[in-house]
Amino acid sequence: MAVTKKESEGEPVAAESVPGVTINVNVSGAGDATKAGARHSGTDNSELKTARTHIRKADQALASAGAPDPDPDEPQDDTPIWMAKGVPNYRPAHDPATRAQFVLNKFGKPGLPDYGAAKGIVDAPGLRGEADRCCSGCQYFQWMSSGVPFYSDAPQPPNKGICTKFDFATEQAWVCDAWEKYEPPAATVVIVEASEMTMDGKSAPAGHTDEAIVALGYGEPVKAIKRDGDLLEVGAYGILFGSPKERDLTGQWFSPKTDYGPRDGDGVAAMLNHGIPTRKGLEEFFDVTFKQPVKAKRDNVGVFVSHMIDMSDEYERAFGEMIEQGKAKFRWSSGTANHIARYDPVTGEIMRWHPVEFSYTPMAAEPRLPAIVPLKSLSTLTTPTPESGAPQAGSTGGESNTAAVAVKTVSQGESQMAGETPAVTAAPNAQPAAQAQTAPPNVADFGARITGIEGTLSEVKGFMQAINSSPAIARGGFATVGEEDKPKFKTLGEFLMSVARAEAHGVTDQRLVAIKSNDPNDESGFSLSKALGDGFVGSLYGAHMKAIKAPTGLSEGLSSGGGFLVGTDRMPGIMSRVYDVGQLLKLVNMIPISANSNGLTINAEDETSRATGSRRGGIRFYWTAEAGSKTASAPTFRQIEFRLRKAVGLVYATDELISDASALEAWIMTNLPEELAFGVEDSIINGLGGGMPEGVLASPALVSVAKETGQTATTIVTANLMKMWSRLWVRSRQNSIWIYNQDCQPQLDSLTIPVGTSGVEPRIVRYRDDGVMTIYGRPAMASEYCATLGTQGDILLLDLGEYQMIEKGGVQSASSIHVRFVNDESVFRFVYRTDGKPKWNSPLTPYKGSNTVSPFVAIDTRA
Amino acid sequence: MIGNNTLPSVYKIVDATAGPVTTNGGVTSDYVSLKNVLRAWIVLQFTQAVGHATVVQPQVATAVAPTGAASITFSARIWSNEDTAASDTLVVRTAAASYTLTNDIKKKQVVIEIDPAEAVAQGSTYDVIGFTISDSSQATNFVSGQFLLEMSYQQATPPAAITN
Repeated sequence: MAVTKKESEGEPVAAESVPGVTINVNVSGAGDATKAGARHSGTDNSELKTARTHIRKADQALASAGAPDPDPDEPQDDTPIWMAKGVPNYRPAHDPATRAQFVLNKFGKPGLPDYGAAKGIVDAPGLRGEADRCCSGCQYFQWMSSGVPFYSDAPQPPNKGICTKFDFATEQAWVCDAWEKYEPPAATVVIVEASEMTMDGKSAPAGHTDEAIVALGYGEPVKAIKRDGDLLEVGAYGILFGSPKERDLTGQWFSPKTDYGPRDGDGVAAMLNHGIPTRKGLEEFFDVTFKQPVKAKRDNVGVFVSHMIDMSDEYERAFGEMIEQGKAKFRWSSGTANHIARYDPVTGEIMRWHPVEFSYTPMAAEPRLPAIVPLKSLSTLTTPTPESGAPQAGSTGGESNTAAVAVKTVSQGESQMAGETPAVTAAPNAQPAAQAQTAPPNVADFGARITGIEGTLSEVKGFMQAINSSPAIARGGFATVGEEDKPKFKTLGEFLMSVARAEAHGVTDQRLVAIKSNDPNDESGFSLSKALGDGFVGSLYGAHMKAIKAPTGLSEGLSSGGGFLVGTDRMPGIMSRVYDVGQLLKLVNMIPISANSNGLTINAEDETSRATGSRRGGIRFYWTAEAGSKTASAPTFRQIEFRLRKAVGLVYATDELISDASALEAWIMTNLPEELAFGVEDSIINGLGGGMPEGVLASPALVSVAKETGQTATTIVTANLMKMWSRLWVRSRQNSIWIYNQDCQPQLDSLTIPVGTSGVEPRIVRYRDDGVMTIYGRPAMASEYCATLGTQGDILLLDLGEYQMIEKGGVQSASSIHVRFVNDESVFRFVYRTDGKPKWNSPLTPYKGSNTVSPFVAIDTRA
Repeated sequence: MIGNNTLPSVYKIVDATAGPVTTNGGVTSDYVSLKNVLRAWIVLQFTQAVGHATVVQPQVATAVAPTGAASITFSARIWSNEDTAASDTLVVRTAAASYTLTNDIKKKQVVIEIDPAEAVAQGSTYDVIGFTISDSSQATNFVSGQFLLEMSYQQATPPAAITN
């Protein structure tokens, strides 16, 4: 066997046996990882660091005891070195027997692996450049978590790893002739996606909708970090960065470029399996949100998530104890909302993923992260402390007087949690050559701990077995694999998704490999019966399949065959357009009528001309000579009579309709008054004056400009507008508006002033920034009340302040069930009493000139 | 309302017929606009040399030409004095869409009130009124009529009513 570095940045340290020196470093989980074929875990980093620390301390102890330095060449700084881990002699190649004993003690299975072969660890130059045989592709390779130092305090680059076969630090690019291809484990996996989160294919779990969580990411097993009173801090990576070659089972992968939100998920809630029970009956157990939010910190490996479990809470304590005592292995699973998540459909890279919660989940979906180590709280491995009477390193008293070599059992949990100096105690695996000088190994202590480990493993296995035996989450839930006679996929959708991922991303779900079709004519096909079971396939090709092709019974497609029974959703309410009703009413001069009146009389000057003798109805001054006779003048007055006219709206509706169509009453109550308003406004323009308000077009005060000589029918020319403007009473200019039929718009937008055979823009019509058209600077608005183009009234120039209206009580609405009581009909009544007419009884003849003016100006019909 | 105002300032008094005209062959009155009118009355004077149940039929129209003339369908208030020689009392008759004179030889007076609102209610474009007198086939039977229009613009010269 040969091991070498692919690059020349270090060489294996020369082995040197140090008889009688045994350093036993308790490393949890490494062996399990090896057995499980796991590759990625950061769980051993701290152990390695601790191991390194205690190796140094042991060296120092030995040196102080006069023992020879077991490794005089060992660098004392942080220079990376080859370093055996977790073996009695960290030069395992020179002490296979001791190493084998260690493995036996640790795992209870002697001879695994064959460490004897480790003697041959030498440079392997022949393998250099063979990237396919590099450590990262080996099943014994474990990733070291970046930022977690394993033998120095310096953060480690992300290419560091552990060879779990030979227990030394390595890197992903190194090569080895003992290389064994990594195969994604056929372990229990979970694929949970947004549209598939149902328990049994019938209903979604309480509190969860299909859109609630779109995908899940998985990280390392959650471990206890420290215990502080009632708070147990646990943590692990919740998100690991991947690459196009390292995707999860959904064909996607996180990257450092992924948008994890402003806080990388820090402060979000902690839940249990996203609240989804692993099987029925556990809904209440899983439906929990932990009291404390998680702490998330992003580095160049992923997002490390820690959480404080409140051990004072009964539920959380039970959960925490499972972790602390290693009874269950959980990993983080992050969830985000559907509308937040973004993916690159080509590369599968997750572009945006704002974690909204991190969940403890008992099952891993990430193929790079299968179950590696049984989750143990490090504190459970606490071994006797110095105060317990265990011999200290270098001590010579008591039984340990014969121990030439101090055996250290390091309680990493304690050392990390409390920062205490690690305890050193006897180990059972001293070398035979040293036994004459050392105390007998404390085999009983090791045996007890091995028993404890076995018990823990048994519990974990039981737990996992219970999970595996629970019903899979339908429609894309988890699938239990590993048993040939079981369907590989729970749903057709899940199966098709895996096929699609394989096609689109080149990521082959190992379950697909197992169900690859044996049909030589279908090399790329898969066995559906293996994927989903014979029952599914049978049903697919049975009567249901026939029914899909040609319904023989009821179906929606045929009205009489059931289509009539299928309704459609209806929007509540009644769709209504919004009109500019009320615009004119806001401009007129409105006077409310008192209680005991039904009309209004307005006294006014009877002035129809500004000519001398007519002003103010006829009052006049004369210039006289001295002692000249004086001429009297007599002003005249007039009255304007208003009588309330009644506009009425009446609607009958059956009680059944009102009861069954709740929107109808609201619609009536809204739109009938609006229709009344429309009618009243229309009367302001078009009112006949008899029995209704008198509109400006019927008013004797209207000035209607004559059309131009030879003017084409249905046109508006610039001269029309000029003359209209000139005929507007000058005091009305500041209060005037233009209203026009929308048909006039093209005419207004194409006005010209003839110049020879051409024309220039008159600059009369303009548009403000808000889009409001102005003519001579006064607002112009399209109005439904105006006549069509070419007819008098198609465009009007009005000062509605000179239009007087009266009203009494506003719109009175009432409904009654009594009018048609025997018919079960209600009647809705709306009454608006009003009247209106221009204040002006005629146009005003100017003082000079003969062109009368008025507040109401129109153009004669251009027919 | 007259009040202190003078009759011609408040009411527009318009001839409906060109003086007394024979009802032989029937009579169609002039038409007047109601657009500045608060209320209108048709005032008729009949001289019946031969007894005849002559019918007075008020009409509405859309223009004074007249255009679109039609008999009123609403009930108008009616007063009549079937013998003006014997009394000066206008007796209130049952409101109706027309009035039929008593078939006797009398001088008669008939007043029919037209509310412009009723005309508009009958048809939204009816803002003109007039009337017809049925054919009495008696050349010696005469009728003379006027419109009495209460104007909304009450002034020395109220707006014209014989134009649209």
